[in-house]
Amino acid sequence: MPFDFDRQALLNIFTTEASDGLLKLAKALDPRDGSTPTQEALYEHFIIAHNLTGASSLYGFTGCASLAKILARILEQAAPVSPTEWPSTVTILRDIVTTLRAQIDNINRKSTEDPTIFEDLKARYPRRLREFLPTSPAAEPAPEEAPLPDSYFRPDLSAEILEYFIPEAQEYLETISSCLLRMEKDPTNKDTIHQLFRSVHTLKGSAYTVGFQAIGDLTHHMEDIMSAIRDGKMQAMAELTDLFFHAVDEVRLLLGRDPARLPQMRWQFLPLTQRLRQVATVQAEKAPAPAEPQERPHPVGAKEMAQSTVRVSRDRLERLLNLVGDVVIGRSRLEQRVTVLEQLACQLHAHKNRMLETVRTFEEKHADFSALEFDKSNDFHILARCISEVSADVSEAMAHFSNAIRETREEMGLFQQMTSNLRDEIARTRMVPIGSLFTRFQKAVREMARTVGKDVEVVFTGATTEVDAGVVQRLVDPLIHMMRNAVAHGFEPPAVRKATGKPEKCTVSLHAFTRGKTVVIEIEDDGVGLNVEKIKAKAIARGLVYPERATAMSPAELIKLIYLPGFSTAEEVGDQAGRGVGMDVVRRVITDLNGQIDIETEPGVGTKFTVSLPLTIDPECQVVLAKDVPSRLQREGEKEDLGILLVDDSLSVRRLIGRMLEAAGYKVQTAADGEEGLRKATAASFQVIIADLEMPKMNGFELIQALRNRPETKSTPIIVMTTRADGEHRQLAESLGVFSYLIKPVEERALINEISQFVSAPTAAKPR
Amino acid sequence: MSKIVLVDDVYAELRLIEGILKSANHTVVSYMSTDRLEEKLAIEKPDLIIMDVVMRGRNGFQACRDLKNDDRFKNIPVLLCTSKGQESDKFWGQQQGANAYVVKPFKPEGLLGAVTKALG
Repeated sequence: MPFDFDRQALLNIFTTEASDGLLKLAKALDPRDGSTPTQEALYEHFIIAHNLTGASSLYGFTGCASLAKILARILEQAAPVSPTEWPSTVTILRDIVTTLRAQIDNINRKSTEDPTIFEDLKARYPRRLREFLPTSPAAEPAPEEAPLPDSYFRPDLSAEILEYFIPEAQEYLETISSCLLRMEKDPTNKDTIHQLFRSVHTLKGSAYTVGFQAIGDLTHHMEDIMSAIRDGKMQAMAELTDLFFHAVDEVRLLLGRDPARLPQMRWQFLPLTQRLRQVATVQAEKAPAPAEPQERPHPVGAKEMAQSTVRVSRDRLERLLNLVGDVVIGRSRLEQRVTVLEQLACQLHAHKNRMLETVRTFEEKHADFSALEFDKSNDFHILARCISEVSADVSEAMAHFSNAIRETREEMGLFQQMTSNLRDEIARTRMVPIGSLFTRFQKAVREMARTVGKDVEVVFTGATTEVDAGVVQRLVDPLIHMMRNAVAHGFEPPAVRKATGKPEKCTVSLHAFTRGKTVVIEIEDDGVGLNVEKIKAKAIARGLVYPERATAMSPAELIKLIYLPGFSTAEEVGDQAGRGVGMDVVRRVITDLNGQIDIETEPGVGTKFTVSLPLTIDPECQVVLAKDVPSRLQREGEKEDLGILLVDDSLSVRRLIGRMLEAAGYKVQTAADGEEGLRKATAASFQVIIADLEMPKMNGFELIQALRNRPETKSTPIIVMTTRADGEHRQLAESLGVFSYLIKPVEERALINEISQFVSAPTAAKPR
Repeated sequence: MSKIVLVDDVYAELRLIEGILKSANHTVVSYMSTDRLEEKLAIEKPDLIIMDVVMRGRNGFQACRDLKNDDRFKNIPVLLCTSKGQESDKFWGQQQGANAYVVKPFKPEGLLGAVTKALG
């Protein structure tokens, strides 16, 4: 500052005054205080913020000035205060004030701004503070340079050039944006980095060619950074994507060529290029000497990888996943609340319209009347006016109300996106290569081969296929079972093999691979294939199917009989099948994991089991099953008891209630709509059926009616579980023979109480 | 050289601007609000008034309009000084009869230049 008259004394005045103002703001902006400030109070806050803006800028503290400016603007826009937005606004304001106080405190001690103090805040509100990019101390002399001419930002280009350049540039911007999004998810993907580099490079080239200096310079900086990343001298970080997105925005703004927005172009441009330049230089300094990575790029990469990896215990991941499950449930409960609010708003809206209509008819009817006999009808008149005013107020309030609900809905949508991303991310951390199981399979097969005296070779492929760690654990037993089965009774004697031209050595193979969002595991043998007749005979002998039905069944249907509980092909191999796991349990484990199992078999050629599972397992499902599966595996010999059928179209209700019931020791099957419910209920016998009322395809009432009309379900207790709390629905349900009627949200204890009336005490109820 | 009345409700700004003006040998009388500004002006009879815009109580625009409607002061040039940098504000300031408009942050030379121009 050339006018350096007693700067320290002036600075003291500045910091003292700024601290006083900020202290006042900090006291006034208390998030715990639920009330909204008055217009006057807001204006007073605005003045404090505005004054700080001016003073900071005069004293050369640009960071403080631009942050205070944002503060002032938010306060200015907050008037009139919207009660719905204020609580979130006050938090932001408060955070800004806290940061400013820290900065002023720093200035008081060091007489200079510390840009790092702003970092945390910027990270927390990247969008709201988008334009807040304080210039670094190194860049301070920049304003002293001659300002860039308008033609730099808005060059005088011919219409013809613009006609081809602008669409082309926009196309590159699209590509850059999509690359940035991909890079955010997978920062090391070489293809993405290359594509990003190429797009930036090309855009730079054409911008310079047509003479669009500003775009050329901006993309030039981006190119520098990208080439450093491409050469491994720099890593793509989250802040970098943010910065690039800002740059993309600025290029869009420049391409818009709106003369009225020149100040904005100018205002954003310098800080942006400074940041880009800074990133390029800082990163270059940090990076290792360029010669070294060229010599041995691999070790360097590997070392960096090791540093960026953290070991996390399975327990902790499990807890995280459980928490995410709770968040998911909480969110859908919130969404239900919003739905109720929407319905209420709809009703209110109807009532309001009725009121308006009444008022209008009244006014029409009495228009002459009040004019003619003004004195007489005075009170009447006043009342009418009064009501019409009130109804106008109600209309307006309703509009705000509906708006608020709509906004909440939108936020819920974003929230849903976030929770599902969160869930996916956490689920992904649990992925392990399936190859870790192969030695166990190998061992199991070898043992079995020795027992039955066969020469068996095991072939594995796809060891690197990643599967959820929890799934892997639960897949071990079923997969081992299938492989042992294949060895135990899948192969013909060596002599027969020889005679049919097969190699003497038997082969069991396991292929694992991913197909889209599915993990596929195939277990294949080159044995005799499944003997359909034998399966039929056994199913009949065990009383699992009536002989006359069995004769009518197709081979494919007959093969499926092996999944029936109680069908064990243990005849010849008995104990060797070993672990007491039947195909019914194998299939159950797989369907519980939302997967499916198919069989392909050809006599004399072999059998192939194909297991397909979703790549990531919903945490919710995970949690339920983790508790459940071991006990199922042990209960293999038991007679099938289907327990409770839960029919509800909401996945989260099925999960939540299912979990409650299972935790209480009940077996639960679920159905997502009335139709599926009916199908399941008639296919097997349940001890109790819990049904929702509003459901797609077939609603609860229709379902109840249908169930009541069928002999097999006529007397099954039905519990209605609904959000419909009115007497009408309840009466209808009761007239249809519903045993009890529960209103959602249902309390766990109430539900269990209700169930225990109909279902015998669970075998493994855990004390809760 | 000239006598200048300065009105700004931020003390730190007041002192800084005061310093700049005094360095150019102007006489400065400062106030922190526009309260009873007319009475003070009647006594001080300045050659120029420099005012902040956003202030508690009567703000710079309002005070400027009052002064321009007052026969005693309407010939004293007013320089508005603010961080509100939009075109509309400048227009608004001129509508109130301000003779010049300086946007914060300004450099000392910038302010002094505007002062000289307004005085001239």
